[in-house]
Amino acid sequence: MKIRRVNKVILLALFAFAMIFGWHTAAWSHGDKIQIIPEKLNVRSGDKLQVKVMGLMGTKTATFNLTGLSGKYGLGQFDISSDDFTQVLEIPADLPAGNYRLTVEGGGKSAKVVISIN
Amino acid sequence: MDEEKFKKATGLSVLYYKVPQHANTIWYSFGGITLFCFLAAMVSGMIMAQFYSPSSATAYASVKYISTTTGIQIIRGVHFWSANLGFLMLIIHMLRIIITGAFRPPRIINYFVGLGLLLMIFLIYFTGTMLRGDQESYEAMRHFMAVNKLLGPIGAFFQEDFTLSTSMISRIFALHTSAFQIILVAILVLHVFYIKYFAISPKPYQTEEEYQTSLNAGSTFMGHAKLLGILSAGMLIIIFGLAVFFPPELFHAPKPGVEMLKPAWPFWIFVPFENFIGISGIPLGMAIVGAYFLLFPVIGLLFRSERKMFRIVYAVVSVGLIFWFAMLIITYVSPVQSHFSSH
Repeated sequence: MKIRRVNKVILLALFAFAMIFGWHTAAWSHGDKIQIIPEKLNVRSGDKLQVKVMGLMGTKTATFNLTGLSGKYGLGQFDISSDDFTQVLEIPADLPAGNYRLTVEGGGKSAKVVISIN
Repeated sequence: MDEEKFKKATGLSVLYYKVPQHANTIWYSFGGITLFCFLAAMVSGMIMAQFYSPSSATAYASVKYISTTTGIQIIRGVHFWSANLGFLMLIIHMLRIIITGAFRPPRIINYFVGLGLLLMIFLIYFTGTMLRGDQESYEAMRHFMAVNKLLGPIGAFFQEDFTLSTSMISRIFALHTSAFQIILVAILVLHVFYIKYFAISPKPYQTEEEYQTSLNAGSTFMGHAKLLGILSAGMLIIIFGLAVFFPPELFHAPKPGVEMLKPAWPFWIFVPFENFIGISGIPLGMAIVGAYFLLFPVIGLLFRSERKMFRIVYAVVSVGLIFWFAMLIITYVSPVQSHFSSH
């Protein structure tokens, strides 16, 4: 009798495990297709930073922003001629040191990466 | 003060409880050696933490300093080798538990506690690989974040922009050195308590009478502890030897967006899954490994005939080992594939 009760618990645990796993499977179907890859992850304020953007389809312009604890800083809007492109960005010289979210937006899509500015 | 009085006064008399004769063999000592390896990793980690700087801007430089400064570089080697050998000892310990049927009731609860320990050690090992600030660390971090992204809201905490006030590496350092360690020690205490509570398991096919005779043969836990002491001393010599003659590598500073290295060996089992179906192959591989370990208590509960149960257990163990070795070989021979662009 006791063993049967334990069996039920194990079966319930396995069922819960399968449910969680099923959720994983559902989660796999969506994900960002756009990527922004900076040439380095640690930069100095005032430096130039080259970034590679991939998969920004259906737009002719790309807007770059930096967001940190001290606020949001626009890095410019650029015309683009292909879905995958590289762009050189100028990091403002007066930015306080810290971690910043670098985002690229265009055509209602966006990608982000965190960089550290010293 | 005579010996008996000293034992009572210090509480050491508690350690003289009876254990079966077979407990005082190397085969039954791998759990204790694993514990020793992780204690060595903890102590060496505490020393390294005095020289390590956990921020994205300084981590790599500080590990480079540790790796090139006489004295501290050996401590890093001890940390690396004690973690790796500890993981290996853990696998052998688990193999012993499964092969001797120690996962069966009444010890089934301790088997699950042990699986909790395995998960924590896996997480501690993995978070350790993310801290170096080099290329391997960058790739591990990217995989960690990608897998967490699949978890939806639960994984949001482990994304680099969850907060901009602290770098991801600092948060991983906090997990590696405090949160995960506290959970590990709590589970470890429970594991040790249950070992004492249920006593060391009988050998396969050992009758209750034979087990009781073995218990009354004069072996005590203190004898087991002495054997562990000798084996741990040997392990310490091996760890130091490896730390001196085979110091751990430090790769170059990370190249963003590039995947060029294979992960550390404990994660090789997941690499073919990832190569086959992308980043989601990692949670799939983890789910398969988890389900595999959960299979043994189910077998233990379903089959009452000991002979039949062990026959199935040995078959499942053989399949598991063949699968594991196959995954290791596939990972070893296959070239590195980049998965960063697939998520």
